[in-house]
Amino acid sequence: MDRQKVDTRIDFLQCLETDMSLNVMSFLDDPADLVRASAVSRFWRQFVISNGLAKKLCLNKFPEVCNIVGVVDTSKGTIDSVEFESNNDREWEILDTDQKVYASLLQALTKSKVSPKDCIANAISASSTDNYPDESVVNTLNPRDRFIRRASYWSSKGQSNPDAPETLIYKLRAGIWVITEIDIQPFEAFFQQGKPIYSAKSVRFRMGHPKSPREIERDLQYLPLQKPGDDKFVWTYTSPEFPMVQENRLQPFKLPEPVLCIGGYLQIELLGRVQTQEMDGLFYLCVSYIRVLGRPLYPAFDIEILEPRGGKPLLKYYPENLSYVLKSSSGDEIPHLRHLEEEMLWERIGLLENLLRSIQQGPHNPLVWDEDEEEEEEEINGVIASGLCKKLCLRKFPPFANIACVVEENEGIIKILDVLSKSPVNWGTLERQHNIYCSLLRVLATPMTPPRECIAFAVGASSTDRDPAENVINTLIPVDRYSDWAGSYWSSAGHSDPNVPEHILYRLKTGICILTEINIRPFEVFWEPGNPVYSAKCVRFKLGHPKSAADFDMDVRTLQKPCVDKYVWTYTSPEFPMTQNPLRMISFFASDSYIKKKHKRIYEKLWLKVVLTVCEQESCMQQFKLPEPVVCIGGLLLVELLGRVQKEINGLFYICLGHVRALGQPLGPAFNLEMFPSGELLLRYCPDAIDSVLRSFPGEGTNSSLGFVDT
Amino acid sequence: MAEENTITLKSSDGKEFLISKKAATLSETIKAMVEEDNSSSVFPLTVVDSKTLADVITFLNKHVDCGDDDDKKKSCDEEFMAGKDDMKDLFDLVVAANYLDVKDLLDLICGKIADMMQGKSPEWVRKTFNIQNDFSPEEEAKVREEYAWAHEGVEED
Repeated sequence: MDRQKVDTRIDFLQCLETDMSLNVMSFLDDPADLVRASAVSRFWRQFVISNGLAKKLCLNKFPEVCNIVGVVDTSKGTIDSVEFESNNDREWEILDTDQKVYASLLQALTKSKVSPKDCIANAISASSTDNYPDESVVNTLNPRDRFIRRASYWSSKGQSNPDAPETLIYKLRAGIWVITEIDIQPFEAFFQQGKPIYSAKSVRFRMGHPKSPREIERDLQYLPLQKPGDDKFVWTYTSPEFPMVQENRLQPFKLPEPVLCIGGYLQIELLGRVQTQEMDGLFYLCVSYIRVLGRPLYPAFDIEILEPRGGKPLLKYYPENLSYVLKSSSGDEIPHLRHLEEEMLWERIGLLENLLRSIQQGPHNPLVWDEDEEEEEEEINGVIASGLCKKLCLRKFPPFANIACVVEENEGIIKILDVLSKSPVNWGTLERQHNIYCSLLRVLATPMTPPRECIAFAVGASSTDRDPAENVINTLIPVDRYSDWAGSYWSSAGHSDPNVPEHILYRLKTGICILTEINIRPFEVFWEPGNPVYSAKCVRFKLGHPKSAADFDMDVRTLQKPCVDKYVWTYTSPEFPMTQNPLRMISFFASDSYIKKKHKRIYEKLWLKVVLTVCEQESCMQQFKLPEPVVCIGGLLLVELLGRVQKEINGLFYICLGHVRALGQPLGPAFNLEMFPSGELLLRYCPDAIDSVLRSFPGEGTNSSLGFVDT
Repeated sequence: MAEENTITLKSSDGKEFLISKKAATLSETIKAMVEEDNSSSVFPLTVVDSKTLADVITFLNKHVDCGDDDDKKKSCDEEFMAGKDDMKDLFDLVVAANYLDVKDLLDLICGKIADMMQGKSPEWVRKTFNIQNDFSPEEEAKVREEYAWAHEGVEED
C-alpha cells in the first residue's frame, strides 16, 4: 500500500485532455519515437494512429508532401487511403496504413543513407542563348567542358548591364527525391585570349511545378524550348542567394534544408555578371556543367501519377525495400564516365544534335583542337559500338520494332544491314547502322516548321451514298464546292441507327512519316434549309501497314470499300469528340466588303473568290492533335467516324466530310519503307537525300493545299 | 501605489500569493479575469493547488525578468526545470499551465514529458509512466516486425 502511495508515475495520455496529450506528442520529432509510442499499449496505439501523428509530423517537416493524394502499402496490395475523402469516415485500416507509410517516409527522408545522385532529367529552357544550338542549355548536362571536338557549354546573350540576370530551367527526374545540393561549374572559354571565366556574381534556386501540366507535356516534345519558359511555372520553393566565385571548378551550393521534390522543375537564377568578352565588350554568363544532387527514395518509395485525378501523385510504399534506403550503401557509387555519358545520351536526346553534327561534319568543324583527337576518336567509336543510336531510336519511337530489316542505298549500291534478326558482327555494319539511326533520330528530333500535308490519296470509305459525286476523293479538296450548285464532299450511306460507324482509309505520301495532327472539316450542306452539318460524334485514328506485300503497293482504282482485316494497325489514337461547328461566314463577309472596296476590279476575278473561300474554311477545320508525334510505319491512315448526329429529311443519319488533312513530316526520300514478299518490313535509307528532309520549307505551309484548286 | 501593480492569487487550498500584475497577466486566463473585474485585487484559482501555484508564479516572475531576451529565457527555463522529474508534479503543472493559459510553460512541460520518451524503448516508456502492456505477444511481435527500423539501437532501460 505504501509503495502505491509514493508511486507518482502517471499515464499522462490516459489522464490529460486530448489537446494536451497532442501537445506533448507534438514534441516528438523523430518518426521512430512515434512508432515506439504506438507500441506501448493498445490505448497509446489507438491515440497515435487515430490522430494521424506520423502524417502530421511528416507534413510539418516537408509541406510538399501535401501534394500526395493517396498512399499505397504494396505489401497489402490495395489502395488504402485516398486523401480527398472527409476525415470523419476514414477507417482504422486507412489510418493504420497512413501511420506506417508516413512514419517510414519521414524516416527515409531524414535518415536516407543512399549516396546523392544527379536528378536532372532534361534541360527545359534558358532565358537567352547566344548561339543555338552550339551553346544550347542542353550542353550543361555534359559533365565535361568539351564533347567530341567541340566546346560544351551554355552561353547567355551579351549584355552591357552587368546586373542583367539569366535563368535556366530543368526538369527533375520522376519519383520522389530529397534535394540537398546544386553544383554549378562556370565555363572557362579556353579558346579565347586569357581564358576568361564567365561566372555569375551569385545564384539562387527555385523549385516548383508547371501551371498547366497539359501544356508542358506538349512543350516537352522538343527540348530545349526555344523561348524562355519561366512564365509556365509556379515556384513553391526559393533558396537563399549563394555567392559564386570566378573559378573554373564545380562549385557546390548546399541547400540550408533538404527539399522534397516530386518529379518537379528547378529554376537556376544567375544573378549579376562579372566577365566581359573582349570582342564586343559585353557581359556574358556561361555555364559548362550543372548537376542537382538528391537522394532517391526509390526502391522503398515510388510515385505513380494518377491521370484521372489531374496528374496528382500517389505514393507507393515497398516496406521490404526500406532497409536498403536506410542502410549506408557500400561500394563505388560514382559510375564510370563512359557509362555516365551513355546514360546521359539515353536520357537527353538533345545532346545528340552535337554528336550528329560532329560526326557528319567531321574535321571541318571550327572548334577543333588537336590534343584530344585520339580521345575523341575513341569516344565516337564507343558510341558506335554500343549501338546507342538504335537503342535510343527504339526507345523513343517503339513502332520501329516492327521493321525487320534496314538497307542503305548509296549511288545505286544497296547494302543490307540485317538489324533486328541477327546481331551485326563487323565494324562496317555497325558504323552504317549507327549512321542510319543517327540520321533517323536527327530527322525525328528536328522540329517541323511548318508541318506538311502527308496524305497522298484516299483509298476508300466504308460506304458512299452516291458514287462518284460523293466519292471520298472529294475530301482532299479544301473547298466545299466546285461551283455554286455542286458541293465537294464525301457522304456515307444513310442509316437509321445513329451509332453505326464509318471509316475512311488514306494512303500517306511515304511509307514512313511522323504525324502530329489530323484536321477534319465536316460538311455543311449549304443547299439544305438550316445548313445542317453532318459531322460525327467522335473520331479516332489508326496507323498501320498492309498484311501482305501484294497489298502494300496497292492500286487506288481497285479499292472502294477497304477491307480492314487486310491491315495491321500499329497505333490507335484516343477518341476525340467532334463538334457540329457550322461554317463561320461572318468574317468572310467582313473581309469580302473590305476587299471589294480596296480592289474592286480584281475582286471580280474568280481566283480571289476561291482563295477567300479556302482561307475561311481553314478556320472551320477541327484540329485533332495527337497526344504526341507518332511515327507511322506502313503509310496507312484510317479515320474512324464513331456515331452520327445529323438526320436528313428521309429520317436517316449521315456523315459527310468536306476536307480531311493529316499534318506531319514525310521522311521520304531519305527513308522509304518496303515490304518483303514474306511480309517483313524493310527500311531503305538514302544518305544522299537526307538534306532534303532536314531542310525546312518556309514557303510550304499548311496553305500549300491551295494548289488543289487548279485541278 | 504598490497595490495597484500587484494582485493576489488564491490557490484551491486557500493560500494567497502576491504577484505583480505584469507577471500575472502573462497568463491569458488571469489577464482576462483582471480585465473583467478591475476593482478586486484577489483572484481565486479553484483548480490550482498551492504547491503548483508557487511553481507557476516562480516561472512567471522569471519570465518577466527575462523580458524579450530569448537566450536568457532559455537558461531560466533550464534552471526552472532542473530537478523536476516527478511525474505527478509535471502533470499538475501541465494542467495548471493549460488552465491558466501560459503557452510558454505548457510547451516547456510538454516538451519535458516528450523528452522522457525520446529514444526510449516501449518497455521503458511503460515503466516510466506505469502503463500495462496489454498487447498479446503475437501482436507485439508483429508490430516490431513491421517497424523493425524504429526498434534498432534503442536504450532498453
